[in-house]
Formats: sequence, structure tokens, C-alpha cells
Amino acid sequence: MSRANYKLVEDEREIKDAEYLILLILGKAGGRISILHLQKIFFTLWKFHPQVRRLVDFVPHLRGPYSSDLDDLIKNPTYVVDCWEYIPPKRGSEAERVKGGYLEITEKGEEIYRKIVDGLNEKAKEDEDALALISAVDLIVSLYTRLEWDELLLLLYTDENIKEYSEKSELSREIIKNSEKIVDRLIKKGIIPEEKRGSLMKRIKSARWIV
Amino acid sequence: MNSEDSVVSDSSFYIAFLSPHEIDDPETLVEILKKYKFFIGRVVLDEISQKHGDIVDDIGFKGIVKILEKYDYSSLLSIIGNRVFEKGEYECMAIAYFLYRKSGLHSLILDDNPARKWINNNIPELSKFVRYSLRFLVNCCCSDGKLSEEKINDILNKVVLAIQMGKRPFNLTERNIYVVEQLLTEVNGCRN
Repeated sequence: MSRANYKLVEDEREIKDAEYLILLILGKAGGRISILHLQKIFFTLWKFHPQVRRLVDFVPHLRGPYSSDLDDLIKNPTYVVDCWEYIPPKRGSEAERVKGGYLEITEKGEEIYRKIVDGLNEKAKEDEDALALISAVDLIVSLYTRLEWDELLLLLYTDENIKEYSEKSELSREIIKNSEKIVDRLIKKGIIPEEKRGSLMKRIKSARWIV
Repeated sequence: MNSEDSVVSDSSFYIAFLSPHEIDDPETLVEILKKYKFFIGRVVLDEISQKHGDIVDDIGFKGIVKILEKYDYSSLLSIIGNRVFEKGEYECMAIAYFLYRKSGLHSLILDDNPARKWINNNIPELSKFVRYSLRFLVNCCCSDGKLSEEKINDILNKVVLAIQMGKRPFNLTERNIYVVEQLLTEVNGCRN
């Protein structure tokens, strides 16, 4: 195989893997997920797993880390087709605009999702990369999807470990302005322990890169 | 040793054994590390090395534990954990989840109560594996039979002494001395 052909095959494989990962996240989320949540979950997996890092690129954007490659794959999948439907955001609501619409799994998507999970679980018995990926998806999808859009963004914008991805965020001031109410909700949900309210408020106040 | 002997701990467990004014017993730490499979991430390793780099090298620490460097475990819970918990704590939680999925988790050693409460609320699958440092040590002797009563008694007595000297091994203070005394009673004769 020539170098050009090899690169083509490699690129195709990466696109396919990225689309399967979208389906894995969507299925794990119960079959419906906002584009905002999907982008941020994918970003976390991208930070975590070297193989995911090869699939797409992320850059700082208006709502924190964002991948245009991923956005493209979500809206125009090439290999994993008819597995989800993209629902554009409803007009008139700020929250809906920020969430960027939704993905909804189709019947075919559910079937393929179950096959991916079975395949990955089987592969994970021997393959550390597969185990790391499926464990990470299990761990964070259920956690992140419990967060409302503003809770997710508040936590994301103020995480100093990824601050370079939040510096261009257009919503940061507004989120910070409402931070006390958002923190109350996070505590009520058990996402932040009550004893750590002060630590989180301090973190928000010291997130100078967004204000 | 079997596949269910995997242990994850934040840095306070290791540091207490290595600190001259706390337990100050690197040899016993090595003995414990060799009797289980201790998994450690980059963040916790750095925290220990920064504090006790020389001893870490002297005892061959990096050769005894399994260092996990391929994946950035701390990134998984960073948006929640950053400055809310210690970085090593949320790195450990993610590693423990990975080992749990692998069906190999024996214990997740965590002494911070809010961090333990967070696990109960958010990763309940891990709850039954979470241990305080001292509970893990007592279980080493009483449940697992991997350390002698004498060794554990010695450690517990050093913990009491360190607390009385104003140190905080495993996050413990004067208020917790009664707990250590109860554990001393539990250990005495538990192997009979």
C-alpha cells in the first residue's frame, strides 16, 4: 500500500472510530443528549485517552473547548449513518441556543450501540485501551449528563487545568454572575459536597482567565 | 496475590509512612506494597516524590508499585474536582473505577470525608471499596492476614504518638485518638 493510500485508510478508520464514539456516548446517555454535553464529554475523553486524541482536534471557542471536526461528524456522519437524528435548537430560548440542539438515537442506532458495548466489553478483557475507554465513558457520561447546561459550563470554565480552552468564552460573565445559584443546585444534587461550597466559590472567584 | 488485590490510595497514605515525624517506617510500607498490587497515577506519584524524593528512590518505590501513565486519569473528574478535592484524590477515584471495571479492586484508600461522601453520591459502585487508611491497615492484619499483629500495633502506636506531637498522619487529629485506641483493641487477638 502506498503512503497516500495508507493515510487515506487511516483517516477513514479515525472518522469511523469517532462516529462510533459519538454513538457510544449517545447510547450511554440514554438515547438523547445536547450537543453541548456531547462536545464536552468528548473533550474530556480526548484529554484522557491518547487514541481519542488522534480522532479530532479541540480549540478554545465561544463556549469553552470545541471541535469543528466533531460538529461535522455529528451533523453529517459518513459511516455510522441513520443511527441518530440531529434536532436543531428551538428559537427564542437562550438555554436551548447554548445547548446547540440535541442528538436522538434511532432504532438502528440502539441496535448498533448494544453491539458496540458488547464488542468493547469483550475486547476490554484483553485490551487495556478498550477497557480504559469504556470505563471512562461509563464514569463520566452518567455524571456529566446530570448537569444542567449552566452547571456544566460553570464547572468547565473555572477548571484551571483546562483554562486555555475557556478564555474565549462568550457566556462566562453571565455564568459567573449566577454562580451562587448554580452552586446551590450543584450541592443539592450532591455533585459538590456542602463542606466544599467555600472551596468552589473560591475557585470561581479566582478564575481570572474568564472575567 | 490474585487479581482482586488491587489497591489505590491518595498520597497521604504513603507520605505518613515516609515522614520522619509521622510513622517513619518505609520498610513496613514496602512490605505492604509487596503484598498487594498498588496502582498509582502520575499526580499522586509527583506529590510523593516532591515530598520524599530521596526515600522514594532509596526504597525502589517506583519498581514496587504499578505506575499508570498512559492515560490522564486526573482529567476525567477535573471539572468537578479541581480545587474542590486534592488532585491526587480525584485521580485515585478515576483509577479505582477503572480497576473496579476490571474486577480487580480490593480497596480505595481515602481519608478525606467529603471525598468519601462524594463517592457515595456519585460513584456508588465504589462505596464498598472505600477504606480509611487505618481501616485498610487493620484489615491487612485481621481480614487478609498479610501483616502481623505486632506490625499493626506498632504502626497504630506511632500514629497516636505523631498526633500527640501535633502532626496529622492520615488527616487525623487529637479528636481521633479514641478511634486509634479502638482499633488497637480490635487488632489484639483478631487472628486467634
